Amino acid sequence: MKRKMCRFCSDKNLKIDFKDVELLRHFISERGKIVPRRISGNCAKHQRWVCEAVKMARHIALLPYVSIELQE
Amino acid sequence: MIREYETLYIVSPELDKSGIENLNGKFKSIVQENGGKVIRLTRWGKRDLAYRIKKYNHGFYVHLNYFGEGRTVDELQRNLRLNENILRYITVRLSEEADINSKESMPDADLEIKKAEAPAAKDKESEEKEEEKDKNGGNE
Repeated sequence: MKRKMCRFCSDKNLKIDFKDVELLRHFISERGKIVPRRISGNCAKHQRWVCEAVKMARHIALLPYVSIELQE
Repeated sequence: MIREYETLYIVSPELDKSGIENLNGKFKSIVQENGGKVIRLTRWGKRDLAYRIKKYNHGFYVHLNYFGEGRTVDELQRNLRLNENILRYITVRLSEEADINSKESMPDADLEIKKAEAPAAKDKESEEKEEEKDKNGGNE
């Protein structure tokens, strides 16, 4: 099994910002839930920061609190 | 103590351009009158909201980057809260202790976010429908 390295540890230039929706989308599921650390591969520190950023982005309506599947 | 802050707020889609500019000017002067200094105001333009707020599906996002003290933020947030055309706002501290002269004030700017292209890919028809929904207040 290949262990994924924390993206933010391996790339020091990558900043966690609540305004960067494109980046944060990697860390939420289709349902809008925050992806757990065991899946995202983030280290504890950066997972905390991502978590905070997602919550801020949700407040300002950049990301959804819940996203319901579109009915076909 | 001077710190660097950023505030992002959403203006109601019912306001027209001059109305938004009025508000932006007002908030900038509030920062300046309360011991702060505006670094840059950036208009993100009209964007889709991730969920409906006050029955609106869209909003004008404005990003304000500034130096200020605690009272600067207090006064700005008080005004944002009182204004009915502000749907949401969020303030983030960017630094502990900053030098007010370390950054120059820059002119207002318009930001084209890469992401903004994606929702625009929708055909015009559905966009118009959503506009109507905004006007009708999305009654269900």
